[in-house]
Amino acid sequence: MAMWPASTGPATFLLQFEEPHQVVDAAVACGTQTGTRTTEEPDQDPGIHPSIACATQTMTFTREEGDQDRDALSSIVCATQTLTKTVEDPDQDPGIGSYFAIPRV
Amino acid sequence: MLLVLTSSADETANYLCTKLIGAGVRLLRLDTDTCARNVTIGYARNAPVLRTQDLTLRAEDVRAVWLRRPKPVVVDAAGDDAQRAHVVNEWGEALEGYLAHISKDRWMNYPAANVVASHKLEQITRALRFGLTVPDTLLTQSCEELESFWRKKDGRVVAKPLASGYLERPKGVSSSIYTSRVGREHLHAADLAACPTLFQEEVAKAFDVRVTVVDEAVVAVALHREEAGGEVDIRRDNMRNVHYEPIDIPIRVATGLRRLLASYGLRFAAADFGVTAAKSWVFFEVNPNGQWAWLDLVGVTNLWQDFAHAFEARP
Repeated sequence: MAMWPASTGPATFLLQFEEPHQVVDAAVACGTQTGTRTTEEPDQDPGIHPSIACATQTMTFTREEGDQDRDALSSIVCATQTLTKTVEDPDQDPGIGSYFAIPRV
Repeated sequence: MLLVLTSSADETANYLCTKLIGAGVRLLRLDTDTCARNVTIGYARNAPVLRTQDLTLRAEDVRAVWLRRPKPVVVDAAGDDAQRAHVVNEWGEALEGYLAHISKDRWMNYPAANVVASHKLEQITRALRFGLTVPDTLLTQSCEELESFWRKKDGRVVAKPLASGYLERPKGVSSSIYTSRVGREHLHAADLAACPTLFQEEVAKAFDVRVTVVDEAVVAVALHREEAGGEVDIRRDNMRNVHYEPIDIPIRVATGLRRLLASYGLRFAAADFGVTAAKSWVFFEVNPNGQWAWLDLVGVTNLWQDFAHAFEARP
């Protein structure tokens, strides 16, 4: 049985306006859904995160280690961290598909 | 040849491809989620080619690309997750390599242009530069700032998601966050510091307008509520009680919108406005890959013809 999220109060301001999604039964009734699908097709393109056309790189975002250190760590700290890392840093930037500075899931 | 870059379940692609084929437009639909099963890519003698069972398409022969929400490549390859991810990435890069041979001006829209144009906050800043009227806007994590803004606007303030208001739970109840009026009771009811939140002055809308731009075509449709409810967000109740009406867009607004889209390099976009009783057009946002087919399906537009013209007109 599907459950609504636990009622412990909204974690953020906007979440206090969260309400159950209304499923439509007409195909493309408002351009957001079809009768045969349960996933939303909002105006905002859900595949917008990658600048590449095929959205193939999104799964690599969490393993990004670009030249530009987004956490603003010093080179010493970064060097230290490489000793404990298990992820690969290839020549090819694995996050190159992202046009966003902040990776998204 | 028109190349349609989309996914197998995209209803808008289904609609437009059917219309275009019926109108005699030559196209190849590439569903990126299924293409690994029925398409091959090759590169030889400095030229990339895409092959299906029926045709071979050189990148240089692609006159136009319609980018309509492609999805990640899905592969049936054996192996563990890392190996499958590797194959997916190889497929993706092969496709990208092919597509990279097609010049930017042939795309509707060029993917990077969509990305640049998709930031709501920056849209507001830029729209102002091009003479559009925008709501007074506040992004904050401070209760004090919010309360001050709320008082300044006499409590006529809305909150809206910056990215998406749809919370998908594949194994649970999916939910929505609409643009919502902020009452006094909301001001301190949740943790504002936990996440930056977008607030705007509530526009006293007489009606909403969806403006769809396809190259030179600028098509405006008024969305009227036939019943109470949804005054703040027209999308409520799946727009069940909305009445559509084609309307003229003021020249000043059309010019501002054209300049805004041109600055992003967009050939297509769906923009939202609210119109007040005093006929002031207030810009809300632009969706570079927004929905439009439903307007054709309810009979208020023939936007597919504008797409057909745009694709046929490319040299």
